[in-house]
Amino acid sequence: MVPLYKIFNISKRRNNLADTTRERWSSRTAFLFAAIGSAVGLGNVWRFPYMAYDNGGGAFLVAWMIGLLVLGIPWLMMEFGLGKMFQKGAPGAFAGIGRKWEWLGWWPVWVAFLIVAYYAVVIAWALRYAISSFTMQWGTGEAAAQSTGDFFYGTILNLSSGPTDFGGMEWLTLGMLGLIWIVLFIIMFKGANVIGKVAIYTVVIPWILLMVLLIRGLTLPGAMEGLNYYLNPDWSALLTGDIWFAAFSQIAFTLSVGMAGMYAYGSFLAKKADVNNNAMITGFANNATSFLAGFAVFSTLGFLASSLSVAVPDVADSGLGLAFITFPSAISMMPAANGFIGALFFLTLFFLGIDSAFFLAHGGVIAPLRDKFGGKLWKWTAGVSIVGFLAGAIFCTQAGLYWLDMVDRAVSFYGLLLTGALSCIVVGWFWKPQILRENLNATSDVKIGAWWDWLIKLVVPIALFFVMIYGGFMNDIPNAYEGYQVGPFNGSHILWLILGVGLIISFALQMVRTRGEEA
Amino acid sequence: MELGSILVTVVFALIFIGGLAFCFMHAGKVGEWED
Repeated sequence: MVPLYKIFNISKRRNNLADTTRERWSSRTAFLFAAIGSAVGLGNVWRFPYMAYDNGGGAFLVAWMIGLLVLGIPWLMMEFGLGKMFQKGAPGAFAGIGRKWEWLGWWPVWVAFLIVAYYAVVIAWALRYAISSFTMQWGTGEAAAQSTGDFFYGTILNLSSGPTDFGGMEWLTLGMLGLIWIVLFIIMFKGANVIGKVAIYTVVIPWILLMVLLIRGLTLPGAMEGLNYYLNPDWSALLTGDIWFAAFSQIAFTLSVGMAGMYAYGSFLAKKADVNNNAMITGFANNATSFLAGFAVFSTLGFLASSLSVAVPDVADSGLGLAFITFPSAISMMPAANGFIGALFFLTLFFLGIDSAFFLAHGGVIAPLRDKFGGKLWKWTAGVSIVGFLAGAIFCTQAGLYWLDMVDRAVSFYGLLLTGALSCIVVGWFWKPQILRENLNATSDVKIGAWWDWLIKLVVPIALFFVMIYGGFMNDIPNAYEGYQVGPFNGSHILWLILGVGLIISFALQMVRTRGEEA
Repeated sequence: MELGSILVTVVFALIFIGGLAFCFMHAGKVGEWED
């Protein structure tokens, strides 16, 4: 590991960040940690364990690993590979395939920008909770454990009555958001060289913290009962569509593919670098982290259920509810060191989130913009950080949670799946995937065969469309998303509007001349 | 902890250890590890 003080001590020598020179990872290790850090995020802790519990326990793990092998790793190879081959972020890579496809690289840039705008706010909430943990602001004991929802919706969010009732600004959250964007700027403005070194810390620290939480969880009464809900297999679930939907969606959302950033991360690799093995290591490390996180989460849920004398399904939850309501309840009920465990848990969320955030901002947004328009990296980084902060301010209002929910559904669900599926279709059917495969095999430790072409041509797009239709359109077309109403538009209209604006911007950017391109 | 849970734990731990071991055993076959 490089000492932290050395990471930012960039000498005056001419480095690889000059305008005309591409950023480079300092080593393969740095790249791998950056890639693993981008993949491992909040979803590994707050989404995966619940999905496993809700879809047949151990049986889900089988479907999920199949999903990793046939969907996640091949898709990751494609994104890393196109970035490395064309030495560009997502729009440049698709422009390399054909100038008419550049928009397909810009659409996920829109997705990445909106995700990081609200993701940084979620990290800000985690920071607020970490600070609140030291004094156990939400209280200890059973009464406090039963009212953690009030603390989240009342004290932290001050949630209003609906998406158009903005109320006031939550200044403390906004301040935290500003602090997070300053941290992101400091990590990003020197480029991949520094990002890779910082990522080693932002990956290793949450692994250590997760291990501490795991050990604490396993030593609590009721832990084994919780683990049975997480792991005990119901093999009959494998015959249902739900488990495959859950497994494929988890894989699609967990690897940080479909958000433009992995193309840029691949483009910072030297042309002789390995891709296939790196993609496999990233995928396995990501899933192993999820598997481990499941033990920490369900052992704690088992304890909570036991201490409240209820069944585990009564306390099992996912997403924001797990992180900011259920887990604080469990922390309230712990026999000792509540504040310390609380701080550890929310710092884990902070570290899990921060490397995904700089991946989204730098790989997903800054690198593609700089590829297109040129200019100094620090200026683009400052610009995107300021705009990202301003865009995130809406999620710091009292209506922030409603907007976060809609934007998340629009980009993190539909945007990611749609752009991912279309990307695979373009590479598979409108280009020649064997060109990419041969390029990958020429420099990779592990060779892939023609089967990979068919995974990109058929399996990945079909799986993504299946998730999109089964888990999305079938509900959001006939019904207003979550019953939201914003003026004349309902919640679903807002989703299509967000996606549509992104598509229009993408085509507009395609029409703009790229720096260095002949008129 | 029930037998099914124990078996799932052991099998998937082995899958992850084996999978990562396979990757690292092949790492550096084509290029140097630190490229």
